[in-house]
Amino acid sequence: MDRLNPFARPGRILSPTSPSASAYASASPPSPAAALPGPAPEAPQDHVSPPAQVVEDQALTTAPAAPEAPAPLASAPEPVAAPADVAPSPTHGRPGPDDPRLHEAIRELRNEIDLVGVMIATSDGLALAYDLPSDDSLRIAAMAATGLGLGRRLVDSFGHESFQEQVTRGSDGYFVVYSAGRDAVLAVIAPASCNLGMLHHQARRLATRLGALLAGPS
Amino acid sequence: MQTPASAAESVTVKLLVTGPFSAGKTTLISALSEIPVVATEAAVSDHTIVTKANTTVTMDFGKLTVEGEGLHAELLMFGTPGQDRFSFMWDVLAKGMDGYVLMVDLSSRESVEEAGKILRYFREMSGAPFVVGANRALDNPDALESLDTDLALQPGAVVVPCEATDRDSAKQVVLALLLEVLTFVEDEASVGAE
Repeated sequence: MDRLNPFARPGRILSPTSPSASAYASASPPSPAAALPGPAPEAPQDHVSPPAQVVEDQALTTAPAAPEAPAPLASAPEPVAAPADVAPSPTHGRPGPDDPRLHEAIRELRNEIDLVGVMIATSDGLALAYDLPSDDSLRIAAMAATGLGLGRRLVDSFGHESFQEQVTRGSDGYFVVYSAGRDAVLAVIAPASCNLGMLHHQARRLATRLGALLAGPS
Repeated sequence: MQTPASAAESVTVKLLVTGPFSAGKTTLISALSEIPVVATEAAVSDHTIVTKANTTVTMDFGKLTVEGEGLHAELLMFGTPGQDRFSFMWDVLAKGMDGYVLMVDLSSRESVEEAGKILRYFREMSGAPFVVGANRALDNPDALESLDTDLALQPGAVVVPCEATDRDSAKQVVLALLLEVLTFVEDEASVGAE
């Protein structure tokens, strides 16, 4: 139990001698951590417990864990070269926030369909261009990215290839999130009276165009 | 926390792992989970790309089973996005939580400051027990030393120095929280009995 916490500061941390703590840490048989994804210690081949039943190995009194693969946090971001004629920007030469082409795209969509608001954002939830009735762009950009992230994860879970859109229908309106290429999302707030088929028709075309635009010159 | 009547020692605990951008939330859950982590990551598009390339936009989910004397606990670990523009997800994910880990990257002054704000947000939202997972503690002893003050922690608040990439170290963080949760539930029960 002395090794319960190699970083322990005396008195502040969960005490290694706490009976409750030792109850968790000492009772398990020294079974290796089976069913762990990633570079966990090797499980013995005869270990047949399904993951849900695996008795959690405390491993505190055994040899140090196998070295981890480089953590995601430690990986260096890919170097990105911005074209010389473009000031280095977070979007790396692609249309940045408030690019006129994005505003034009939003205007086109609104001309075709009666909408409450439109947001074009990066897939990590930062607004690129928008036309909203309220001053809530920060939040709506993040929500669009959350819808995209959840949608992609769901589509991936069921083997449905690539995410296209997510429709959230309230009793009095819609919030629809369209994939716009790899790194962007188009979100539309529409009234309940909206013709969803028409919206899809227009917005999918626009999302495809945005995807190409935001992917930058190839 | 759900406690089946037939097996009083078996508990399912919902834990949140929160904290600022790049504090090590996804890393912690990935290090611990017995199941493939359900992660929702998107490429970072702003200046924070110098810190890391991907960021959680919805949630992470992982599970850890803990066996001890007279206890079988299934820890359901929900990781939140870190940037405050995603704070609506904090509200969504915090629903029904039994406790939370506040992760903080001690190597970054900004991370500590942001963690303080997030902690205030969570303490206003919920009275649930929490522990602080002080990530990258080995290399940042000074930041660890001043963390109580920097986060305005109450006396008795639990800080667990850790390296989120290390499974055993990560485990200390959630075990400390589990202990806090069990103690909290016991206290609530005894108050209720009076």
